[in-house]
Amino acid sequence: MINFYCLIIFFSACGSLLFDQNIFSQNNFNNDQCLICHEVLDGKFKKPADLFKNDIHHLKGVTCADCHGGISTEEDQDKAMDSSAGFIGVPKGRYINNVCGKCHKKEANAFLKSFHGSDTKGKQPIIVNCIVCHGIHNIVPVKNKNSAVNGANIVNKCSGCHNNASFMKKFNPKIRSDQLKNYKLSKHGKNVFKGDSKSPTCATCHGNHDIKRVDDPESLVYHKNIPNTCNKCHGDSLYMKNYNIPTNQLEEFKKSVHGIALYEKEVSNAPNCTNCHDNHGAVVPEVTSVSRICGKCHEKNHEYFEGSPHKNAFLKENKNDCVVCHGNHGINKPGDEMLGAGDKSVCIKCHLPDDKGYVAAVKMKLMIDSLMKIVETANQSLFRAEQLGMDVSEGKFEWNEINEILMLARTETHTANTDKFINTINSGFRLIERADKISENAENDFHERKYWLALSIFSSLIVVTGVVLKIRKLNRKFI
Amino acid sequence: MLNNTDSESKKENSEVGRFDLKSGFILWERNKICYYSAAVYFVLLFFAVFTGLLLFLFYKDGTGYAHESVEYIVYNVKFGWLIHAVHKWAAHFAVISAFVHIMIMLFYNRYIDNRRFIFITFILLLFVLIFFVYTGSILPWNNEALLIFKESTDVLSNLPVMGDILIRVLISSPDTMNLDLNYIYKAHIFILPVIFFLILAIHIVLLINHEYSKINKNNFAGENNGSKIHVYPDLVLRLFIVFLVLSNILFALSVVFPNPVNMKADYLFQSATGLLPAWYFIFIYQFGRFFEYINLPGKNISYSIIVFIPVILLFILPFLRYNKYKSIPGKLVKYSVIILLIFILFLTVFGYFTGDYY
Repeated sequence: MINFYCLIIFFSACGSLLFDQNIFSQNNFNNDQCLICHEVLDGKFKKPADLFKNDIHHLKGVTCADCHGGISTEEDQDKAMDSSAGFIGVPKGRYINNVCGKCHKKEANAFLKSFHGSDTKGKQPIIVNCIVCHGIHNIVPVKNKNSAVNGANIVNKCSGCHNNASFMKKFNPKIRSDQLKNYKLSKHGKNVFKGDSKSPTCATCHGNHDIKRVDDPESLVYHKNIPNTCNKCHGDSLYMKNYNIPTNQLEEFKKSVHGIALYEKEVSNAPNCTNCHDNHGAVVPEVTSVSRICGKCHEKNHEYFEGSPHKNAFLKENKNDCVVCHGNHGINKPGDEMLGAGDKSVCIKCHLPDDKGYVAAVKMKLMIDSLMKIVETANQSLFRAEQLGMDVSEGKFEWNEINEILMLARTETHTANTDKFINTINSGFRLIERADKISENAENDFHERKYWLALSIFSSLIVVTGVVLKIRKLNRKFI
Repeated sequence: MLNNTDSESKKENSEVGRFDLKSGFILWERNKICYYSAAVYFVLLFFAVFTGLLLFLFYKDGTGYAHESVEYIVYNVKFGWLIHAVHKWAAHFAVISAFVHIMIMLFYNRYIDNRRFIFITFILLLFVLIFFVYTGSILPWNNEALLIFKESTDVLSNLPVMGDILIRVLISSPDTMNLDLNYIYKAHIFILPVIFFLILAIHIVLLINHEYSKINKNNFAGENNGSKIHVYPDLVLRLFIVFLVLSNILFALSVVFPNPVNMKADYLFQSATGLLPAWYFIFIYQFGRFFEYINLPGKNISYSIIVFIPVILLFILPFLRYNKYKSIPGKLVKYSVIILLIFILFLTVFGYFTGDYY
């Protein structure tokens, strides 16, 4: 029996702890003289009291005095709103963040490190503070659809400033102001405005309180961090379950030539997700637009492909232009092995033996292989001649041009035109022939020096013999 | 009475020690190996200076011009390639021949008594020559020069206390981007030659004074007359043979192993192997590598001690004595030289088979 009473006492204690805030808030509401007085006032003095009744802070027991200072239980207005009692009136500018930061410390600290909050520390005019995004007396939880920072609302909230070109140019004359327009056209934007809570809004990619500039390496949208930011959703198979799209893009991208350039070689303008899919207007490239997207950087390849017979053939079969041979996220470094009829050839995916395209592919492969072989030999002989101290600068100049010819030939494979390709390769052969001749002449000149050296040694030997004989004649020992 | 005897003996000694060219003799039998090794050194110096003067006509200092001017010398100037290669080989062999000359001096104990300052001035000459080779290897401003510069500044900066000061004094700036070749060039063509020829002059004056005093003394004593030879024609003819043989060796090396210009120094150049020594410096490199395996306490100080102990030892060797009358026994030094040479030979052969050289 005693145990039963103990249990009752224990549970009642736990219950009182759980619900004490509400009890206190009820008490506070009844005793909050600020609200009691402001409710009976008119206009701008009444509005905050009306709004604050539904505010999450009020429901959780936060009083007016917690933000504005003063004594909320004092009936006398002069005493309640006396500055000696800590009354500050309406907080303004960067002081607003300090007021919120009294309870929301983590968020306030993150905000101070963000680009929006960075100016609040100094004498610069404030850009943004808490109330700009969250509102003032009508704040509701973020998950509530009425919250200013929930789903589509946050997009509208951000675009309130960022879509206003004249406002934004005060801070950064180069900044874009078409983000909302593009976002609405994107797959993400369409889903969000349809009410999909899973689709990303501004804060998903840019962060919320700790937003950094795009060129800040700590920013979520810094060019090197973008793949990881996208992968937070696109790499999560459970999260992406309903969208029916693959989730291994980042893995493939990291192994690709673009990923290696971005992560290993740290090339500043290496492409990331947004270079192909766009950032605010992110969409999946359509069949006809793939080569145009790749062509933004690989201009000539795009131009040659557009004029090739492959263009229409791929279109007929609804194949994604460049993706057919190169892949999409996991693009490997293209090599000569992609031509011809070998194991790694991409031509034999479609072309059958004795097919016209098959023959052309084999021919191209043979020619480029034979050129590569003599290029390497020419390089070695030029290096050898140079190490012998011979002038082969002209040959090296010729040899350097071969790289341009090889690049041109490899690009011309996209035309699928054998004649054009052979012409280019032949010019390479002629170039290497000239370089070879130069190194051969240099080596011949070097060997010629040896004959003169032999002559010099021979004549010196005669003189030395004469001198030794002279010394002996003087009846002296030489050594 | 005592004073009179002293003054007479002093007078006699001053006559004995007089610098006298008229005699026209030098002592040959006991000194010939020293004369030959010195002759090799001076002939090599002659070639280095002569070809250096010719290179001076075309070389332009400054990181923007140096490599281009060397290219011009090697490829466009008539026999420029030969002058360029002979300059390098003569300088490198001069260092080797100076080293050999010191070894011979040590072996025959020619570093004690009256010869001690002759010996020390020659060691100084060797060090100045090493600086010549160092500055000379940076002047062509190719990738190897850049590597040498980087490695040497690393080594110097590791020296305790005086590392940074040495860099400022010797190289002007440790930063390759601000490297002023002009500073190194002036050291190579003016400052070092002045120091070198001053020391050389002292060395020769001391040498002639000492050798002639010995001849005169021998004349008075009437001993060892058979070992003397005439400066002309005996010595001159012998030196002429040395000159001819060495010039042919230098030409042969310059033709068969020419000095390539190589690529212009590139600040982004990454060497796959790092800086490798020439074949004749393999032993120093291998010796250094040996210490890499041993984790010495106070790494920088230990390395400095290892480098400086043999140098200091060379300088104080002529002054080391057991007591007031007895110097270090000649045999000890003789055997030390033999052991040292065997050690060098072993390290060279070892390094040759590991392939850490160019």
